[in-house]
Amino acid sequence: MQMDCDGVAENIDAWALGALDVEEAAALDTHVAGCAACRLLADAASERAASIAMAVPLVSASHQLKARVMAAASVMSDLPARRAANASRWWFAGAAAAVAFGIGALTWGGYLQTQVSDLRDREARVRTDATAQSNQFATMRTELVQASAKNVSLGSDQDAVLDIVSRPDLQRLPMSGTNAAPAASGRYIWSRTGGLGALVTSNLPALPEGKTYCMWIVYENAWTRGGAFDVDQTGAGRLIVRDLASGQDHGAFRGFAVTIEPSTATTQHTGATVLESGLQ
Amino acid sequence: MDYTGFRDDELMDRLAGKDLGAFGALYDRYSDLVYSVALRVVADTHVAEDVTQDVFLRVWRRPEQFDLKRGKFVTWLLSVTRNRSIDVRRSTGRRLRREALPPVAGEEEDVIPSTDERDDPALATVLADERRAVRKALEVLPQEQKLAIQLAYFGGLTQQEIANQLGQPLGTVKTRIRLGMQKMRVALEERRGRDRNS
Ligand SMILES: [Zn+2]
Repeated sequence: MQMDCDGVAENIDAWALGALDVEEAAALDTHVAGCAACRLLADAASERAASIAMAVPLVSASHQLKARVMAAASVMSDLPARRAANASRWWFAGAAAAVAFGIGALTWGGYLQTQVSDLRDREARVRTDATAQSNQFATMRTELVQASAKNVSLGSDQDAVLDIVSRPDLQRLPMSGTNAAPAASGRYIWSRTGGLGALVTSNLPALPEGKTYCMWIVYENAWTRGGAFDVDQTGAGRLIVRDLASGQDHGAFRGFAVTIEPSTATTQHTGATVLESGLQ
Repeated sequence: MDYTGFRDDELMDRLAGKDLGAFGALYDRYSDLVYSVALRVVADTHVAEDVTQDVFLRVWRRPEQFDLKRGKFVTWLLSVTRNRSIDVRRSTGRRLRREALPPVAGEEEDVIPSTDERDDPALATVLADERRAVRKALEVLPQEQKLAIQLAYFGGLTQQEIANQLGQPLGTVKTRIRLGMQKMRVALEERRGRDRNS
């Protein structure tokens, strides 16, 4: 299908409203791409169409949405572009970490300070320590950057991470390798009230066939399963843990642990602990 | 840093340097409008919030996609919003029936947004003026022209689909859209002419 200048003039408003069928729209696009006069028509028609949008009854978006969008933008600004993934991966991760700890932390801290007062029901709970939170957030971002530099997929987990870092009771626990995996390390970031946590690991050993890593929440009387995850060649792994607060009485909370378990889902820990948060 | 006096395109320039404050200022200016347009199309507050988030994060990630030479920022932003909303609506299988379309400009009283915490009253006034002008322009359109335009823009229907839905010949629908948009153009140009002379 071909379209000349007359055809464009006749169809330009329907095009701007998105009402042409696929072939018509493609023909018009092709013509406009090569015709300066029609491009002017198209820009004007787009403006008219967009002005229809301006007439909608105005409804206010929620404050929570702003917090969500700003947090997402802040995280995204540190995620490496695809092209950076192979070339100088480690240099990039290091540079991104510096940004996240330095400038990034300041930006986020400044934002949080206004946002915290904005968000937390105007007055109460101002005791939230924005600085500490921003440091924790910066660390989390660094780890996200490093994880993604190692090609660990982020996917929809990003939403969960954003949810976690916006909680006032955010906690960050370093996890260290046991004798079974001395080089391994990890971070666990979690919010008890939110029932959400995020685990990032590095240098975990490669898994034997039929095995998976399993994360546990350790109580005095029970280990409850947080979830299973695999690692890449560098031992990097990520896991989002949901619904931590099971409401059952397992005794005092002691910490977090990672074990190697059979890939078939288990609810009991059987394998040796490779990573732990320093169990109390 | 106070961004009150910055033009939209100046804020967009700053986004290239990943200026989170400039991004926040743009968000404050346009989030209600973006959200309202998304809500008009998808008719679900949660989905509309997701669309709003998508739109602003796209602005944040790819500010270079906006080209000042081709039009105003708000035009581009609302086009992105409309297209994203229609995509989402199609993918969730929402096909609003004609009677289910939410009320439209001129058919109900405007809900005035809370401006107390918005930092830019001057800009809010400009936007409000522009919105009023468009609503006036839409008001003078015959009902059937307005309906065809709205089914296309907010409903995501092609002219053929509109014709099927209204039980009218395709040619009739095309004419209604063309005439309706021409009247809009004349009304908006008259207003701009008055603005220049006043
Ligand atoms: Zn042409």
